[in-house]
Amino acid sequence: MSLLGQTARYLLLSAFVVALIGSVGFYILIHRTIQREVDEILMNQVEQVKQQLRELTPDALLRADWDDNPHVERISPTQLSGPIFSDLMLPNPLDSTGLSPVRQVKTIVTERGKTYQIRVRQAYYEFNELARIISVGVIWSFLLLMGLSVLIGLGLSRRLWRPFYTTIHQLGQFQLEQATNPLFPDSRIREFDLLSQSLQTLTQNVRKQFFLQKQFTENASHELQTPLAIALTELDTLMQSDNLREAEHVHLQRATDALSRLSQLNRSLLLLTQVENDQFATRQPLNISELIAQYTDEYMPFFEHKGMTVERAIRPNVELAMNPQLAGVLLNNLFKNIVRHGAPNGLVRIELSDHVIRIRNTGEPLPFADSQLFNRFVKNPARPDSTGLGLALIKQICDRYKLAIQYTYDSSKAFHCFQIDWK
Amino acid sequence: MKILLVEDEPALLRSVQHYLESEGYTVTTALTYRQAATKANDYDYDCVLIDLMLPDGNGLDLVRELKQHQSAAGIIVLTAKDALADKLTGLDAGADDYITKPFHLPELNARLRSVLRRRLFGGQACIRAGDLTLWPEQQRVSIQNVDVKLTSKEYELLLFFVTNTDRILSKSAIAEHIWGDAMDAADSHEFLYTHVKNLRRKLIAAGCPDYVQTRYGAGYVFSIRLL
Repeated sequence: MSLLGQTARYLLLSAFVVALIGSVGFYILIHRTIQREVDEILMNQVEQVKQQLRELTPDALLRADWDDNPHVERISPTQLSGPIFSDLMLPNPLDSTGLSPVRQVKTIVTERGKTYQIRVRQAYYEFNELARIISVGVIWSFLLLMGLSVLIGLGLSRRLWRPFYTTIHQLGQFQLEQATNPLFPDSRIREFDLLSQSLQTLTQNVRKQFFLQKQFTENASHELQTPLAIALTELDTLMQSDNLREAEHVHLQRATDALSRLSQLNRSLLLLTQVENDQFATRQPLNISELIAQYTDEYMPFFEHKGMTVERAIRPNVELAMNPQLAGVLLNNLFKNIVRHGAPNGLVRIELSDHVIRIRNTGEPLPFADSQLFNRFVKNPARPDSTGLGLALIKQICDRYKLAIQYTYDSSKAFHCFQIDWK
Repeated sequence: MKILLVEDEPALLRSVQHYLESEGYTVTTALTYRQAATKANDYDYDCVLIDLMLPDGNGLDLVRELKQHQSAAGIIVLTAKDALADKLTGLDAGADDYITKPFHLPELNARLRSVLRRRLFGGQACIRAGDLTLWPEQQRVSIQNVDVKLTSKEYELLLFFVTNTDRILSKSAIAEHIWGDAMDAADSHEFLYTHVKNLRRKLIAAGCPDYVQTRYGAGYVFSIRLL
C-alpha cells in the first residue's frame, strides 16, 4: 500500500474513532445540561410554592390546579426530606394513546408549623427532542469537520511528499550507462534535500566506478589481444620454416591451440563482464523459432559428424524480446555444449513451444554436482580444452532477461536437459 | 600490389609486414595516425590495413578520411574490439572488411585477397592454381573446364588453400576460418580432417592431382609445385 494510502487509512480510522467518541460524549453532555436546566426550573417552582405557603392561606392553596401541578398535600408531620428527582412515563393528556416522559421532583417542607409534600412535574418531551436535534446537528458537523481535516491532511501530505515521489521515479529510470547523471528535485524540505544530495553523490560515484570498471575490463581484454596476436603471427611465421621436424611442428601446433584458447577465454570473460554490467541495453523482438532453426542447421554438420540423431519440434514464429547479439551467444553456447559433451551416436532433441526452449541430448552424467554446472570455470576434467565459461555465460544472459534456466539429468534415459522458460 | 599497414605495436607490425612481403606485396608501414594520414594522402595504395586504436587518434577517422577523398584503396580494419557494435561502426564508416585480433596470418591473407579481388577485378576475376580454376563470386570450381560439385564449406576450404598456396596452414587457422564461432565446438580438428579428406577425394575423382598434403603435427599444405 502506498504511503498516501496508508496515511489516508490511518487518518480515516482515527477520525472515525474520534467522531464516535465525540458524538457520544456530546450527546451525554447535552442531555445532562438539559436535565440540569429542567431540574432548576422544577426547584424554582418548588420555591414559589413554598413562598405561597408562607404568605397565603393554606386552604386556598390546597386546591389543586386543573392539571394538579404543582401538587401540594398536607401530610402528618414527618421527617423532612430533600428534593427527590425522578423520571416518569405518564399518559399524555393531549394524546391519550401515548406515554410521555416527565421529570418530577418531590420534597417535604414545613411552613408555619404545618408539613406539606410538594410535587412538581415538568413534561420532558420537548427537551428530549431538543437534545436529539442538537445532538444530531453537532454530530453531523463533527463528522464534516473530521472529513474536511482528513482531506486537507491528505492533500498536504501529497504536496509535501511530491519531491519524494519524483526522486523515486528518477531512481527507477536510472541507468548506469546513460550519458548524464539523474537530477534529483530540490524541495524546501531539509530531509528530502539531504536525500537528494546523498543520492546525487551516490549515483555519481557508482557511475564513475562503473565506467572505470568498464574501461578497465575492455582495455585489459583488448590489450591482451595484441600480444596474443603477436605470438600467434610469430608462431605462424615459424611454422613456415623448412627446417622443422615433425615433433617441432607438434609443439608449434600445441602452442597455437593454447593461444587460441586463451584468446577465446579472454573474449568470453569480457562478454560475461559486459553482460553482468548490463552493457547490452537494446532489445528487440526476435523470431526465436527462426533463430533456433538457423543455429540447428549451422551445427548440423557437427551433429552428423558425431553421428548424433537430431529431432526437432520447433513451433513457428515464437517471439522473445532480447538483444540479438546475446541471443546469438546464448544459442551458440547451448549448441556448442551439445556438440562438445553429447554422446557420440546419441540423440539430440530440440524443442520450442510458446514459452519454453528445451534442449536435450544423451550423454554421461556430470562428473560434479548439478548445482555447480553454471559456475564459472567448472568443467569436465575429461575435457581440459573447454573454457568453463560457456554455461556461466548462458546463465548470465538468462538472468539478464529473467528467463528461468533449469538443468536436469534423466539417468534412466541418460538425457541431459536444458530448459529455458519465460512468462 | 601496394599495401599501407597502420599498426602501433612494432612487434605485430614487423611480423605482419614480413609475412605480407613474403606473399609478394609492397608494404609501407605507419606507427601513428599522423604518419598514416600523411602517407595515405601522398601515395595511392591498393589496400590499407588500419588498427583502430592508435596512440594519437582513432583509425576510424582515417577510414572516413580515405572515403572522403574517394580513395580507390580497399580498407581492412584490424582491431582488438570484437563487439558487434564496433564492427558495424567500422563497416558503416566504409571499411571493406574487419578482422579481430588475434588473427592467423593466412586468415588476414584470405581477407586481403578477397578485398583486392573485389576492388581490382570487380569480382569477375578467376583464380587459377594448377588444373584448378575458381570463380570466387559464383563459388564455382572447375578442373580442365569441367565443373566440380563442392559443398559451400568445401569450396571455402579450397579457396583458403588456394589463397595460401605453399604455406603450412595450421588446423586451428583453417578451422577458425571455415567455422568461425563454432570453431572450438568439439573436436573441430577431427571434423576438419573429414572435410579435407572429402575435398581431396572429390578433386581426385574429377581428375585433379592431389595438391593438398598433410604435414603431420602441423596441418596442411596446398601446393602445385611439389608434384
